Amino acid sequence: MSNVLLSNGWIAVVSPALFALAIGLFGTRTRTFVPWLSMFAPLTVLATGIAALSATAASEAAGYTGTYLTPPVGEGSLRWLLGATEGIRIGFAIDGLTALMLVVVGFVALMVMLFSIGYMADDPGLVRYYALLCLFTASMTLLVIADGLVGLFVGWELVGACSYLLIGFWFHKPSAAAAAIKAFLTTRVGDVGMLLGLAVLWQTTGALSYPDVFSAVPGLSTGTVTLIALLLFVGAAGKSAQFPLHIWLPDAMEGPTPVSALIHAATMVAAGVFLVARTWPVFEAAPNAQVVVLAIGAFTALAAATIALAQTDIKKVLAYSTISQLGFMFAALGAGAWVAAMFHLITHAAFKALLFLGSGSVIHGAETQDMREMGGLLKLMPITAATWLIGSAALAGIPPLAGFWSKDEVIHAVMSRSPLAGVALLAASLLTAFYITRATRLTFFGSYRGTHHPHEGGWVMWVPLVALAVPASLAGFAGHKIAETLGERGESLDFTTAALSIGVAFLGVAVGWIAYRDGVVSELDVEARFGRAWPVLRNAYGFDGLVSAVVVRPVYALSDWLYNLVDRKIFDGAAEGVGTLTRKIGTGMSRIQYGDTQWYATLLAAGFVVLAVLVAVDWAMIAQWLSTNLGVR
Amino acid sequence: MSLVYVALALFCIGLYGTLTRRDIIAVLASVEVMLGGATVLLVGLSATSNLAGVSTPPGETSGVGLVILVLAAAEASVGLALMLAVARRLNTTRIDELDEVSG
Repeated sequence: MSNVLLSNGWIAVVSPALFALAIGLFGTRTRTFVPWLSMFAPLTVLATGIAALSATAASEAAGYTGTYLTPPVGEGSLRWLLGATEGIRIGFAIDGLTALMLVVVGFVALMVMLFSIGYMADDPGLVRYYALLCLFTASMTLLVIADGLVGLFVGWELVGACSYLLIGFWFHKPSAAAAAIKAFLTTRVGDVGMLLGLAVLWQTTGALSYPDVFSAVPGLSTGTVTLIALLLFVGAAGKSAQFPLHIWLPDAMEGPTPVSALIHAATMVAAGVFLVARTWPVFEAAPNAQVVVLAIGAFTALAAATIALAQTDIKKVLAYSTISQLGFMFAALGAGAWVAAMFHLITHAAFKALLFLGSGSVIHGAETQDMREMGGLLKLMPITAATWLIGSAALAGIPPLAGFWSKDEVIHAVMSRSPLAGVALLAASLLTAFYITRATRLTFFGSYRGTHHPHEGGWVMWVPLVALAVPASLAGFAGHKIAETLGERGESLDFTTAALSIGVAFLGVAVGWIAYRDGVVSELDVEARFGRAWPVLRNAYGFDGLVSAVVVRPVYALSDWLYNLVDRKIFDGAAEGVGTLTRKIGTGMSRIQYGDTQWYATLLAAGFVVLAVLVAVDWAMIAQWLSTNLGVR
Repeated sequence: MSLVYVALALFCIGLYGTLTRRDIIAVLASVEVMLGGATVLLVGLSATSNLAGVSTPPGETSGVGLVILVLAAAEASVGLALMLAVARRLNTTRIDELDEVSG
């Protein structure tokens, strides 16, 4: 079984795509079965991933000299865009990195689909929702399974399209439609950078599949490699919401919460990290690009964590937290510790998907996203509360939960590369522990402040929470295993860093716990105490306003100008000019058609005479006569 | 040879009448004169085996002339019928008064 799945890796892409197609076409007739049927899509991916993991573990990695991280356990390709040239190879290759991603994508997608049965039960768009989830699963699988940048790019754009469609799922809400467009356009900026990177790569090496690219990289000049690496990073930063392209992710929370868990926390936004890890040989050859990645990552991690402090919408807290955690991963990549980054990606996928689904459960029960209207849910929604506590402790970096181990590796790696960035990450960890404690206290402790009757959803909603709580608590112990799967040796725990980060985590939790002991009263108290700083944070430093002043409004002004001048005057002018000219000529010509039949007949006769003369006259003879008698040539 | 000049003269007289007469009946009659010129030319062609360098088999074109006579009769009756309709409807037989399409 495993061999069949691996040697025909396309199944993991094609099968979810077929499910998406079938559900999209025929789903409305079998509405009740659609969610259950959909789950076969992520199950295929998960099965492929598990088969690949076990095959990778069984394969002999020592002495492998190929360009993949571990010997690929499944490979295949076909040529595409055939023409005068030999075309572009598009294929799949499953090595350790891909296997890990397949497991993450398959598992989280499965949990999200299960959860959505409860969350989306009464939604009229249920069938469209599941078709899109299946399409997303197919696209994300294509992204991770591709053996070259062409396949990756196709998947990359498809997940972007799915993200757009799912953020704007409730498109009748103007804010959701606007958020979808914002997300699409912002990530498009990054995608253009990435496409340019691919163009430069194709121009300089003539290769886009990973093995060819990696073997060509040493032959390139440092400048070229740096350019390629930076352009790829622009794409990664757009997809993974890194400063200054992070602005779309908080707005993306307009989509259904399970979608936020799948796309905007665990998988798609991590695609940027995956891209950099996948093309690591390129970044390895470009130390200057690494510095940029490190700086942007550390800055984003810290800045987003400060913004998360002041949010009142539970999903916005998690959104900024996601941006911040992705910043951690990029900082690790910039420090050269791509294994640590992947480790953090995996643990983060588990605990952040858990937190998002937990928030979904809370929103479903309390019917609001504002934490100030929650409180006391610990007693009313005990399973959600218990799993949320596990997830938040993992995020805060409390040992022995998953987040602690991976965050520790990240901070250790960054600290040894740049102490400044390391300190920034420690500060971000402190803030992380603080803001998640704040969110927990406001949501689950104290007494209920809302007007609804919060309750647990059905088993379909709490089973995914429990299932995700398992990796969120235990994935940290798999660090060595993950490193080995990636063809590297695992790092052992660095005790100085560990002590520091544990101290920071407990400090953050303690301060948050004490500061928010009175729930919403404390929130008002903090707001009063920090005066003007709090609204600035809540407003994300007004960066949205800056972007709209610097980018959006000039673009609008330019569009207006182009519309009025080029479109209205030149193009419309030309089109209407042709029409006007034709009418004028017609009006002029109609003057000679004034109804006098004999005048027509006269013109006819005159025309005949002219034609007859033209036919009868021997032009050559005239020319000769002219030249001989008058000397005209 | 002189038949050609006769035919040409008939045609030109008919053309002049067609272009200048204001009465529809006169115009119609002038058109018949033009047609007559063309018929004369055809019949004349059949009388000579070599006209202006073009060799024609004898008797061939006089048959065409007969066809034209029949067609001309039909054409004249249709033309007169149209003219009658115009005269009844618009109460005029002057061609320069029929200018309804004038823009």
